[in-house]
Amino acid sequence: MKLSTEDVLHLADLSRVELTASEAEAFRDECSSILDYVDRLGNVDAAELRSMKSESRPPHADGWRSDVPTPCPKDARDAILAAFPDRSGEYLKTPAVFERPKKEKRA
Amino acid sequence: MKTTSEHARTIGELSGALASGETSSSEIVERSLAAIREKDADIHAFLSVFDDDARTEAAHADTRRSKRMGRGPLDGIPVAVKDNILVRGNACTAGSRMLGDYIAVEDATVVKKLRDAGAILVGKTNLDEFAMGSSTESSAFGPTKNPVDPTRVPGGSSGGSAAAVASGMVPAALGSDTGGSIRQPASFCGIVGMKPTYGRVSRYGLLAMASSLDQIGPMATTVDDAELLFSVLCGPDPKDQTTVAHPYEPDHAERRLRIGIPKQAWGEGIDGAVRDAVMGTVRRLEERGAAVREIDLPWSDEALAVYYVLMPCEVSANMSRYDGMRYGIRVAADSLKETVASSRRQGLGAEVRRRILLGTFALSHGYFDAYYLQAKKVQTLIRTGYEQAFRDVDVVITPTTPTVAFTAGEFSQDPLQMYLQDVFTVSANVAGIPAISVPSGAKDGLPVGLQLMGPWFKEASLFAAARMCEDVNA
Repeated sequence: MKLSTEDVLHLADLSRVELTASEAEAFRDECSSILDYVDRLGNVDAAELRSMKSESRPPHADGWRSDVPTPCPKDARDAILAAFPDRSGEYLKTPAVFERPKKEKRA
Repeated sequence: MKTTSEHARTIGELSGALASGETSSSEIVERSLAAIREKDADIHAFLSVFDDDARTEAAHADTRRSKRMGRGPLDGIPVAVKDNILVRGNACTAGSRMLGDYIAVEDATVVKKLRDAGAILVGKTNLDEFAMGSSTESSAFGPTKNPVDPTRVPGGSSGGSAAAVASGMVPAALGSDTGGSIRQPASFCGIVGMKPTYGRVSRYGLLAMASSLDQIGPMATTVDDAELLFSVLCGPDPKDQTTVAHPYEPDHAERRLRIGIPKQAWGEGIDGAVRDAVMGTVRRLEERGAAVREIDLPWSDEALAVYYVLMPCEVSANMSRYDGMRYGIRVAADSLKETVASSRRQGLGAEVRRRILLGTFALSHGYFDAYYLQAKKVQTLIRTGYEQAFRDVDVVITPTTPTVAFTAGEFSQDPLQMYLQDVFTVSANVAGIPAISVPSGAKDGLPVGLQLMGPWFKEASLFAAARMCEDVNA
């Protein structure tokens, strides 16, 4: 599987990582060679799975934890607040979720 | 073996010297801190050292002992922790600029367990960024050197822990292992490193890389020390739902060891001297009565490919939390999206971003079935292969790595070649089974590691077999 530079830039946009132009080219080649390697999995006939007991071995998650809030000790709470990159009192400050409308481009 | 406390290096020797009153925990910790001061400027195994806290804790351990309230063989023994495991009130960088200033809010479960056993935490060790790498070269804070030969890498990603133990700065350390990150550096540095069964040790407080594969495990100079540490770390934890309650009992019974040598693992790509060094140990085990047979591990050739699909998929999901919002660095830009992207650009190195892209690709619409789903199916085939193999043998033996420690920078331009380093170790993560690397000779003075893999939750027989390897090479 070969990726194009456009593919790599699209993936970078989806996953919110910025790449320089030279990184995009390097990643295109490196990811393509890794994908070429893992493409061998396509040759494995996984139909054999149906004829065998699957997953008889441990471990599996031992059920789900109940979705109930537990109190946070004050010192841990203070440390979490202190780790905020930007804050207003006890609130986490983030950039606005919705972007300001960009100025109309002139034709 | 009787040694004086001056030369004591193993936990067993140190706790013996403590019990006899020959030395104190404060002395042992001072020696450890002095060794770090003396050697770490060259080796760079540590990212932070807890001088003051370690001294205070050592004094407490000495007081406990004087009141006959000691907590057992780990009480008062210095231990280092890989810097992707949280130690409350201290930095936890994961080797990344993203977390350069991050201070841990609480202790990881394994750190709590170490403290409860009386172990003294002396510092946090270097690693490939977010544990992604096989050489400790991708740490944002500079590489760690191999104490055996400083021109070579210590392996990775737990390279700092391996180097700290191998150079005698600490008798033992914790590492984490997603595809070989404990065993490969143990092999390169000539120590013992063990990855437990998936579900044995809580990962609460470990910065997640690939959650279906990650395990925390011990690194030490002897099998006994690794087992002691393992017995302290293991056990169920309500904060990690994958952990199960399987009581652990060491196994010292004499029995005939049945060894499987997978024919798939001895083909091309292995250094001849590595093969000979590992086969030498197998032959000595055979001379002492072990039954050795060649076994077939169908699909095990596919384990590396399975790993390099599943791991990046989970990485891309786990790394999404590093968005510059609630912790870590934030690089302000015009919009939220651009702020996230530029924070990740500044905070995350090339290897981490490469894996995020690969995972994003393999999980994307139109490719999910061909990559992720197919890899999960082949993973089940691989597990089944091991299950069948362990009906006839107690352990499977391979080299830990295809070569001895490589030179710094050797694979920096070729990630796929770096990934091929993991060819023998990833199987245990993909199958979820326990595995251990023990020293097995050398090539031109560079340590060779022998890997033993065992059935799910049979760590006791794995350690017993590893002790036999140690004995025949003593």
